[in-house]
Amino acid sequence: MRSWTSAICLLALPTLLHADQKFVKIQRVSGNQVAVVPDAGNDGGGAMGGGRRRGGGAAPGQPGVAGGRRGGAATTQPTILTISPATKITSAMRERRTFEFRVGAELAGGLKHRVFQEMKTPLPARIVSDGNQITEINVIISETDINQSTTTSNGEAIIAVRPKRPPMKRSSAAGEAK
Amino acid sequence: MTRRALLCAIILGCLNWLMLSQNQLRAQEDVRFFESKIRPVLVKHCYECHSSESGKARGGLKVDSRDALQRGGDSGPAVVAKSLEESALYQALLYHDDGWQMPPKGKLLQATLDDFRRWILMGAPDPRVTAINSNVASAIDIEAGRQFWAYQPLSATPPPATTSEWPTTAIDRFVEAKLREHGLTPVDDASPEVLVRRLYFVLTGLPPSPEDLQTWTSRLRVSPFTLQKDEFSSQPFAERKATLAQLVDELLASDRYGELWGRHWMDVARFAESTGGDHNNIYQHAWRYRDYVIDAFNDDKPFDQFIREQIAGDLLPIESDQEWANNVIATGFLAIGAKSVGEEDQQRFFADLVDEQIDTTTQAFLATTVACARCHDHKFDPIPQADYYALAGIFRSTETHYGLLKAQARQATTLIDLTGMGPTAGTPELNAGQYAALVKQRDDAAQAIENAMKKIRAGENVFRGLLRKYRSDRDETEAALQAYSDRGQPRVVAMGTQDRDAALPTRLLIRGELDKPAQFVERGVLQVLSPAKKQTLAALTKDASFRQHRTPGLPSLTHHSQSGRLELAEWIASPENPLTARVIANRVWHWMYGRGLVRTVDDFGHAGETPSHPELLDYLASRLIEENWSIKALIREIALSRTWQLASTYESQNYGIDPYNRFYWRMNQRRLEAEAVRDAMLAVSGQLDVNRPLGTYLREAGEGGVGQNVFEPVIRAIDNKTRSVYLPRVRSVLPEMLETFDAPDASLVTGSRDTTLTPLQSLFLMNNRFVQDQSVAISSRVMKQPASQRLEYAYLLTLGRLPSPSERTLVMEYLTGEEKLPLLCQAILCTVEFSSID
Repeated sequence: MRSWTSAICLLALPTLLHADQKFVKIQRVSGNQVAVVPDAGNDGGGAMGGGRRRGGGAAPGQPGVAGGRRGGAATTQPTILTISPATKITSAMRERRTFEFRVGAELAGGLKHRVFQEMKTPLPARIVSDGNQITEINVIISETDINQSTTTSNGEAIIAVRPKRPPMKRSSAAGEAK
Repeated sequence: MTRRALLCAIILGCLNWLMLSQNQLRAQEDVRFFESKIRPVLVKHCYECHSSESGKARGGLKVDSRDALQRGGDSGPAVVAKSLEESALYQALLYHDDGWQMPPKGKLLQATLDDFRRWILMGAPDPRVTAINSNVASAIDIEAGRQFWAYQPLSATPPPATTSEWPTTAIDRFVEAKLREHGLTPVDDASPEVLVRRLYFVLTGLPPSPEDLQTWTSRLRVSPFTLQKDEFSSQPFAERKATLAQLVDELLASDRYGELWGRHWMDVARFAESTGGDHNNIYQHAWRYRDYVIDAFNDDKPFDQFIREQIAGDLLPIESDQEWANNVIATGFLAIGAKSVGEEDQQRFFADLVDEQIDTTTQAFLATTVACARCHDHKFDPIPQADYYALAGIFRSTETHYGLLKAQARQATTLIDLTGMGPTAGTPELNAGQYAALVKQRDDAAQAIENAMKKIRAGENVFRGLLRKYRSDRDETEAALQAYSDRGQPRVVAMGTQDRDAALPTRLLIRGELDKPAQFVERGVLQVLSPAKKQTLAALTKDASFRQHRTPGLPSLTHHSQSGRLELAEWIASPENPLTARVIANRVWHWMYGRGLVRTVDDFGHAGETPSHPELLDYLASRLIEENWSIKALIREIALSRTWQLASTYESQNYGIDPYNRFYWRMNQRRLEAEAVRDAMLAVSGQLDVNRPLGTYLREAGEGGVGQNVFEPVIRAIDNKTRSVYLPRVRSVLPEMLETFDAPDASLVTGSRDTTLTPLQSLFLMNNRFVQDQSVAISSRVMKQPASQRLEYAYLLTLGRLPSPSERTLVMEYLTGEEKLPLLCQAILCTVEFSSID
């Protein structure tokens, strides 16, 4: 069974990395490694990532995107990608009415961000690559404000969050030199 | 089994590679097509108005990168793969007769249009992805830059020796030396009336009452209102100084002091209660920062602590929840700036937000225009572009909570919840009925959306604007509801900042453009103001001299914040930072004299001016530090100098040498600030309410943007009798009187206000209802006096002096009946003398 998995990962990797951008679902994050599967239901409305959702239609433009879906078994088996620290990891959203793909703010901590650490279901994302290098991962999450806090795209207006507690004052050496 | 699996895998692999190589070949062809047929046309016909190179993005569109083309402009995506109808670029090229035609100089050849058609149907392949650029180096010589006067450590020049009897303080000795050097002689001391009125206005922004004026002037001379100038001058200076010191202390201890000097600082901190820009959404909770500033000045909070709280209050060590909450509110400084909350591109919005924070922080505390280095090395000052991004790394690792509702502003955030931590609520409690009504409103709004959605699902047409309004109503009422606990008690929320869970790595951006990243830049501070190689946060926190001035009460000297904001605040507030103390000392001098020793109070760089009295500036900065950064102590020292007590009289010989009074041979006569003009009118009419209002008057204006939910006339017409510092401060929509008398719009740091003299001001004073009402109220006060004293009282009340014989004659001729008294009072309010100080 492990041989099958290895073989399939081996097959899928070049297909995945060849694409300029590819819509995937992130299944698991461990350290700097990400397990992804192509996201058949989220083709981004085209290579531009800017069009309308076309349910089940052929992915336009990008051979890599199409390749991912044609891969048969590859759509169900995860591919492990190693992400470099220089990769920009951002939030993203689909515009409610037009389904336009919009890139949001950068996620502090990258793969250590809580959206990955606390992930319960696979996260839809777009992977942008330049040759063999992944330059950007845009993850669709419901939290869309610039602080990635609790104002959701569903219009739930949670107006305030509790502050993070600073340290208590100590009679330490700090500042005593004054 | 394993062998079969491997065999299958190899076969599948071969097929896959075959397919991939075919795809690659096709992709290469596509790219060649783009490079040969499409890109040259874009460069030739479109870049002029739609590219980073030209610096233009007409209609919000750029076509010089794949992302920009896909993102499109105001009219949506310019290119949508395989869809000619949805590709706005192609539709414009077709030159249909609907006003949507590009390029504007003429239609392209049919062959070119065919190329675009083919390209879009191919899937619009475009290889212009964002690439990481090679490292950007700076040509700035930092070591040479350190030689500039402003970046030198404070000098400890002693006050010049003198044999003259004129100087009474160290400040006077510095001033006198310059006067002597330029052949100038100081004019006489100001008369007691002038001096008392000046002190009241400069320290509290209000005029003295006739009783106070009489008390203090009588103490400053033997016989009030009859003494000659010479007699005043001959009074032993020590005694006069003691009396003046008593008056200064009394005024500094008054709560009115913080309202005026807090207002000064709010100009610098570009305080306003809205986002500005096209949307101009209201900040309902900015008033907490306003009150924090007023209290800080009244409490004489050490200025270094004031700096630390505003930049990094949320990270400072605390003793109690109350202290914690106050510190968080202080960070509203970083949150109240102007913002383009309608911006679609979140990353661009965030970059602009950080830029605004850098600009304000560096100008307010360091009088340095670091934001100029966003796109390139600073053109005048030794600030490489990397320094800007070192600071940007700190602010990028910070969450800014400024509020707003998602339905009304694309870039909304949460606020910070301080309920139960000490600060009082800004809204009254709701009773059960009011709370239930709010719940019903929210539920009704939610139901309206549900009904509309049902109609849409059933195929009925629902106007999109209506749906947007329903959503906005629901969010507004939901937010209003969440501002209370379920028992109707108001929650306490504030604007401010918090550290992110992790720092965001930051790249230098070529020309400041998001799609042109270069090398990563380590977080840090300005090189020119740091010892060599110690500008990064990592190096800074290991530096012994930096550690010496860290915040008292930190868990350890090695304690560090996630973002680096704490370290930035400590670095700015350090007595070893050559700019900080100089800048605030110069601001205080400016607020006392109407002009700074460095006239460009917000720019101490090469583009600014040099100080007229460099040694005096350093002396004041050193004194400030010695006095534990006490602003009140500095004000006191300046106010008690003889230089500050000079008259503002004209002297022809001095004027010939120094017409702009750069060397302080006299006091500058100046117009009062807009707030002081209004407050003075209310004060002399006896209408002024000196109590601080609860929260903000904008509470009545509602959530949302000006022109949408919030109406401009409502804000302009908000009528109350409190001090002007508590009036609504909406960007571009100031109360009429404040706007007429040059109150700043708060889009930028404003250390020095413009002073204009316009016919509009005179017309306002003559015709405005508010001014007329105050005139009537003044005349009522005057009428309560015995008939023989009315004229004197009216002058004392409004101008702080008795009428001259000629004025007395004129007025007596004019005042034939009581009905003319209000008009006389209004005429006095219209004089230059009323709205200026000598």
